[in-house]
Amino acid sequence: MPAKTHSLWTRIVAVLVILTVIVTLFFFMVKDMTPKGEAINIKEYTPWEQESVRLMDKLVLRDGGRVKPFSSYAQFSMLRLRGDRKIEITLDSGEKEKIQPTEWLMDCLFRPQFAIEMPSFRVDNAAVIESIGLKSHGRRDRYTYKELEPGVEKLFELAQSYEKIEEKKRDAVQKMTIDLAYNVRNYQFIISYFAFARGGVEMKSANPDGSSRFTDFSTVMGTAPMILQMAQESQGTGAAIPENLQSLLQQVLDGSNYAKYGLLMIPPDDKAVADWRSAGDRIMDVMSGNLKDPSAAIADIKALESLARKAMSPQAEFRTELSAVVKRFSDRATERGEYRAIDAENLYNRKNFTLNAMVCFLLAMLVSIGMWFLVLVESPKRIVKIAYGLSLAFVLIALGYMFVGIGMRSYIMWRPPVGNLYDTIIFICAVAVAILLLIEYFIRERVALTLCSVLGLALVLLARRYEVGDAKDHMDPLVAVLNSNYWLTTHVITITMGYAAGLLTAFLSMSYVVMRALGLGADGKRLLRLITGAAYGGLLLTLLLSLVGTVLGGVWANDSWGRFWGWDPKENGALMIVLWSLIMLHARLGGIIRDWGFHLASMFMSCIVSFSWWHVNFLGEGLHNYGFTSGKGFIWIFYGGVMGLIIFGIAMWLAEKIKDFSDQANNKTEGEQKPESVTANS
Amino acid sequence: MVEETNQDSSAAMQRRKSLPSLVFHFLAGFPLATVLMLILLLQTWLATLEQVDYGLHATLRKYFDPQAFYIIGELRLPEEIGGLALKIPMPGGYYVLGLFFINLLLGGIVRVRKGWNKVGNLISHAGILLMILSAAVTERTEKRGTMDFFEGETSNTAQDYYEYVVEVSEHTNGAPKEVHVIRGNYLADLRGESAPVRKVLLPSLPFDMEFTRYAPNGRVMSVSEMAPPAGTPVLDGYYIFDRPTNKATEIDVAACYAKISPRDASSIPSFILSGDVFQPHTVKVGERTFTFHMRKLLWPMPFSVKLDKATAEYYPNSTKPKKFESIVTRLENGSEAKVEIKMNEPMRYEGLTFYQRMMGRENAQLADSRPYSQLEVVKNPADQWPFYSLWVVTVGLLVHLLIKFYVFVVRINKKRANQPQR
Repeated sequence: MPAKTHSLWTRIVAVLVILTVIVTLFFFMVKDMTPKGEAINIKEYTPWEQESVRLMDKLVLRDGGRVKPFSSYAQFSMLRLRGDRKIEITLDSGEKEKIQPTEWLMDCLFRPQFAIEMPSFRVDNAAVIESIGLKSHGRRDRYTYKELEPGVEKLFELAQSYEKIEEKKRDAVQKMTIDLAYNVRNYQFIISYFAFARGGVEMKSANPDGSSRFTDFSTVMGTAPMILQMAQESQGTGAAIPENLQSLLQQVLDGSNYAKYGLLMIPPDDKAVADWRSAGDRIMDVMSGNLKDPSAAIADIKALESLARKAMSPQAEFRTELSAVVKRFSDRATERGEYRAIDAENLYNRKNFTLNAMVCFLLAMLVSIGMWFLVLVESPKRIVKIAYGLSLAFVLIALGYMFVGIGMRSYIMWRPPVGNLYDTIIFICAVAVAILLLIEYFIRERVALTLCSVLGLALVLLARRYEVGDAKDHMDPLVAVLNSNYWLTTHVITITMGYAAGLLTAFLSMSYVVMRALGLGADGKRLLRLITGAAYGGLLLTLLLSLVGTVLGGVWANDSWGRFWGWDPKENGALMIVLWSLIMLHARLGGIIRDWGFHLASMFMSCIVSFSWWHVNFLGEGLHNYGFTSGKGFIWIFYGGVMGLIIFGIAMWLAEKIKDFSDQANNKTEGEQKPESVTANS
Repeated sequence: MVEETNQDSSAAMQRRKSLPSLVFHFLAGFPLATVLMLILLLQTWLATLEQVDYGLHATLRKYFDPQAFYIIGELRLPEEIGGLALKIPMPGGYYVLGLFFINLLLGGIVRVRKGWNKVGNLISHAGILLMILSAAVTERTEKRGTMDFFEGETSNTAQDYYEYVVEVSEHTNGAPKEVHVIRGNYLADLRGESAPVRKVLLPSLPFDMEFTRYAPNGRVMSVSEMAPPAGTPVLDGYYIFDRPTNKATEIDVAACYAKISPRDASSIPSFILSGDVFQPHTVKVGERTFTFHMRKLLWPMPFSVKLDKATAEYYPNSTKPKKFESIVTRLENGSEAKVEIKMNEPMRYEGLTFYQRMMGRENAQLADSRPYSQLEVVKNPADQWPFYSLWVVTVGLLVHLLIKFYVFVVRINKKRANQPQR
């Protein structure tokens, strides 16, 4: 019997495996939830009131091909620059305040004097900082714009020279220098976006005493026809443009240029025009005489000016102006039919479904560990049942968060739930946990429930890590060839469920190996046989979903690209899952492998699924290439971990074999008949 | 179940005596199926990795060439651990698939035990057989090319993806009379140090032709640009520089040396033919004028297609494509039919399928310049077979899974009923 065959060291290794998994998951979760870097003090900083933040979130803009709320734009801008979703600030009162993305972007736009003191830039290699003549904090840290500013010119110069090098040949420092330069450039555009509103236009010698007078951009825009006429007259006569007019034109050009890039927050009042406008675009539309009726554009800029000037006023006053701007632009977006899911997206951003699911999975995992401890020390059944119920409740709540989150994403994107790599992670997580719960319902042995929490936590963590690494809005629309609701519903969902089934099958087998090492299958082999049965069912499901998904993909490809099979890495990966499933089934049917072989092969399935789902993206080939490289090291750690577990399983299997032989030899000597055991089927 | 299988196997072993029976059981056996699928898995994996270095077309040619009985797979280790390329010998993929087909037919259809619980198995095996068959038919018969036209233009030919040909035609009154086509595939082996020469007989013309040094991706270079490698023929100061093929082989440009051997024993100097040269090479043989042109193979369509409108739509404020669509008119025997060809919605007609491939403008910088569309044209009799096989396999696997699930639940319930509550 397994419990008797395994020595202390196998149990120690099994416990170490479990502890390593738990500690790793716990470490990454704590890391995920902790703001990066130390809390900083910004003098006279006052946090934004939540009412202002909520209102700001309602502002919409067009980015990445879709209309989205300010909260989404802020979140991914902050992730891209800082690699994190929060900054901790120590207020003058000594209190600590966590700045969220919307607040961070509000500071950048309306209070840049505070924003430039926030550590907004993540730099993963000190060599980048040193190469632009600055002193680094350490190997990897975050920097404020104020710190980087002295080296900005050098940074742009270096980035420009590195861009001439072929992308594949650039080293890590060169790539990071280019990334940092882009981030700094984008940041400069953000913090100077409202410069036109803050500074206004200096009208030289406008006062009777010859001194200058400041006026608004919107006022200048109202006189655009006159200014244009004066400029044309000057050009017509060949005379130089008057100095004060030239100065005015230059200021208008500068102000509009600073507000030109980034936030496309103004929906065109002409419904026939698809492209949204930035404040800078709007200024130039009027100043260049492109609009027949400039009144709406002038009023747009006037509203933005009023808003920006109230940034340092009491926040109630700021909100009054913000309400006016939000109403103005959201009404227009609604009329254009482009405000459909903004409130839903704000709710989605606010509720943070993945974070809540992650916490629930963690609690479920901790309770599960406690539950197993209670089982091992043979506690009263009632207490074990309470722990079981608690763990189940946490998993169900987490699953609820996952499904509601996925449903909301689907509603916001107005397409089936899986369309990019991020979608696949959360979908696989939800599906795998749901199937494991179903397995738990049938076998009721606590194993599948425990796996729910471990697998669920691991996958939610992966989703969050990927989101940080990729720093892209994964709700942006799909390119034409992928934008097919029929195929996204059939092929993509089926193949993704195939990945989920493959992974959970592998995890069931991992639990089999660990439990056998711990001797938990001692009670008449029942538990181990149930796990084997569940894993076998999981394998059949993997085969069904992967095969059907792969062929559906082929049929889609045949309609899109004119070939059923193009040897695209992603297609090949899916085929490898199908082949490995078939190999396992046929090897088992042919008696080539039995329980041990089946579970060892099943664990290897997780490597094949990971290759197909994740690794092929690093190859940079094929039509499914998502073009990212972050997290390359993680995949090797995962392969290493699985291979380590497989080697451990092989060692245990060999140990059992040796023990069987020795038992048989002893039995022969004693003339006794050895009873049938699990190992006889191994 | 496993125990049952073993008992069956050992009982069957007793019955197997004759050589044909042994061969049959070997070909229909699980071990062979397992080994063949392992090899296919390994080949799929290696081909996935190798295409990064060598390109897709070259990799597929290597792994699934009908002439390759064995291949040497290459597994390049990551640069961080030395980047060593491990060589793995294995049988050619074409023959592995062939043997797998036989194994599946004999083991999965002929030998498999028939019964209600094997119905799903049987159906899914039949579906896989149909899929492999469709792959074989596609491999042997598929033709693939492109059709490019601007708005308002009509075309009745498709240009092959890969194959270059030499077109020889006599010109009378400034127009070609009859075009003789020498296929590039017939010249593709004229490579290597020995510089083999192939003579092509053209009985209806007053000359035959000789070809040598075919370069699938050759560039015509001037000696003043770069000195030719030793032994390379130079004609009028030019030679063919034999470049390595591109990873995307469809962008390769073929070139070769050609020589005319007139039957009147006159002498005409050799010349270079290249797919890069838009104007054909002209030669006078006696009083007659002939042109020689190297270009991609053209295949005629049974009907014409006119591009009425090409629409490329992008998401606002972005360069992300939203919709590519060609509205075409199919012209055939005086009748016309309007068809929309979009991404994921090809036009299927008379055994040909037209896919939306690319869109562009005559001058990419000018938004109002003439738009053009490139359609991919595919002729494949097995075009829809995978779709049919999909249904067969799905039904088979679903039936099998449901039967297994039913057995699993019944067994669990029975055990639960027999056991005292824990």
